[in-house]
Amino acid sequence: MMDTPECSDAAFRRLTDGGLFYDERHGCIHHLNETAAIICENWRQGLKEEDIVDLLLRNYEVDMAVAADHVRGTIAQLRGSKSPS
Amino acid sequence: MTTTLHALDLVRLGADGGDLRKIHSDTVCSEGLEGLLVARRVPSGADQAGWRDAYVTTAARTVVVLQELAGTLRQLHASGTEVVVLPGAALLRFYPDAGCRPMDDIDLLCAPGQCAAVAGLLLQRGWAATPRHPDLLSKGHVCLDLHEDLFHCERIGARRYAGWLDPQDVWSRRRRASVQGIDVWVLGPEDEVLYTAAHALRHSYRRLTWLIDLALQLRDEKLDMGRLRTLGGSCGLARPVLFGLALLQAARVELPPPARDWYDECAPGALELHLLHWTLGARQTTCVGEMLWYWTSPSWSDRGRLFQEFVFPRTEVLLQVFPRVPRSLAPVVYGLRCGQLMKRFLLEMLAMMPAPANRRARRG
Repeated sequence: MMDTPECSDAAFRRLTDGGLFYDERHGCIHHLNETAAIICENWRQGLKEEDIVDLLLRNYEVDMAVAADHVRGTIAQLRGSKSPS
Repeated sequence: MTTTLHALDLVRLGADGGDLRKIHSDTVCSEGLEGLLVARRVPSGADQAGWRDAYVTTAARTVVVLQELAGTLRQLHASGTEVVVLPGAALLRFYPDAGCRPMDDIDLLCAPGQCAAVAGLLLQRGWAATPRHPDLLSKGHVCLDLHEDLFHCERIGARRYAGWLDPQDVWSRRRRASVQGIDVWVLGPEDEVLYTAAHALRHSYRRLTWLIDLALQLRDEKLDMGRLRTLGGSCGLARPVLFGLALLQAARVELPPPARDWYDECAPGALELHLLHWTLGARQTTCVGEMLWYWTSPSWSDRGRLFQEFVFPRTEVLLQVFPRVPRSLAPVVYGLRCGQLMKRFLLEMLAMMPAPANRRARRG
């Protein structure tokens, strides 16, 4: 996982190779893989979709279309959850 | 039951990481150390998947519990009430992530004289008290243990002879900290170390996590070792810290130089070390740790008072120990207590015979 500062978001917690997201609306926990955790963390910190895509492109060997698709899909799922920020 | 040496190995792995050729996976799991060892990247051999599952499960449970705690703290704050989150939940901030330290209940320190009021507020908000334990409340996945005194001296008053932190002073030294993304009140760093060390000793180091907690706390940059020594000396809790340091030294855990210097100056004697190592080896069954804690009291008469009240606490406390005995039959609990103590004594004697502390571990 990328080296980023200590996360101060209680609903999202980073793990060694991914993360957990607490979905308050549905009262459940999502276990995220490494890239989904990066998307979740940065989206909750206010980064725009295109900036998160850029972040993935800089850190992974991935096509822009694939990265954009992954970011869009993950954010759509996160928007379906409501959590305290 | 694992040997003392094996327990010390696990403490070192938990505190410092590294590699160990032979890990007894059962012990790692029974101690709840899988998550920490995953985060420390300790090779797990064939149990990789099992450890990872435990790691993620612990993290998920911790996140849920902390979310519920955060909501409760917000409600209390809105009512003008604050509480301090005590170790262990408060110590999650020293661990790599939420999957590294399993928790049972969450201990909260109330402002002096406010425990009953806090319990009342929680009851109004849907928490349920445990019968005969008005300061033990549960709701959903969370169990809260409310304290007005760090060592529950309101239950066993003589405990304060073994070392006591004045609740008013402790409250005035509290500070804000972020625990896994949640801002809470925690104890001052020196109070936190004293509490952790005494608590671990009192419970005979039953969970190795408590020794790992102590090692991580001692590395905290905010901890002032000179202040810790002074405070420990004045409140009578220096010996439990030195006992903890003795076990960490024996485990070859990396300690900051001021902690090593303190230990070198004031190391426990040979008999105390022997008992400490034996206690660690027998930690799941023994209550010798509590006796050792009482032994740290400087006065023989205070030790006697402590022992007497430990053996026969007041009736209200004994009724908590035997929750099925009706209140109307309260005198019966003293007879039950005698039977319980005889059984405990016999078990302790049996445990002492076949398992002398490992010599290598004892030398530390």
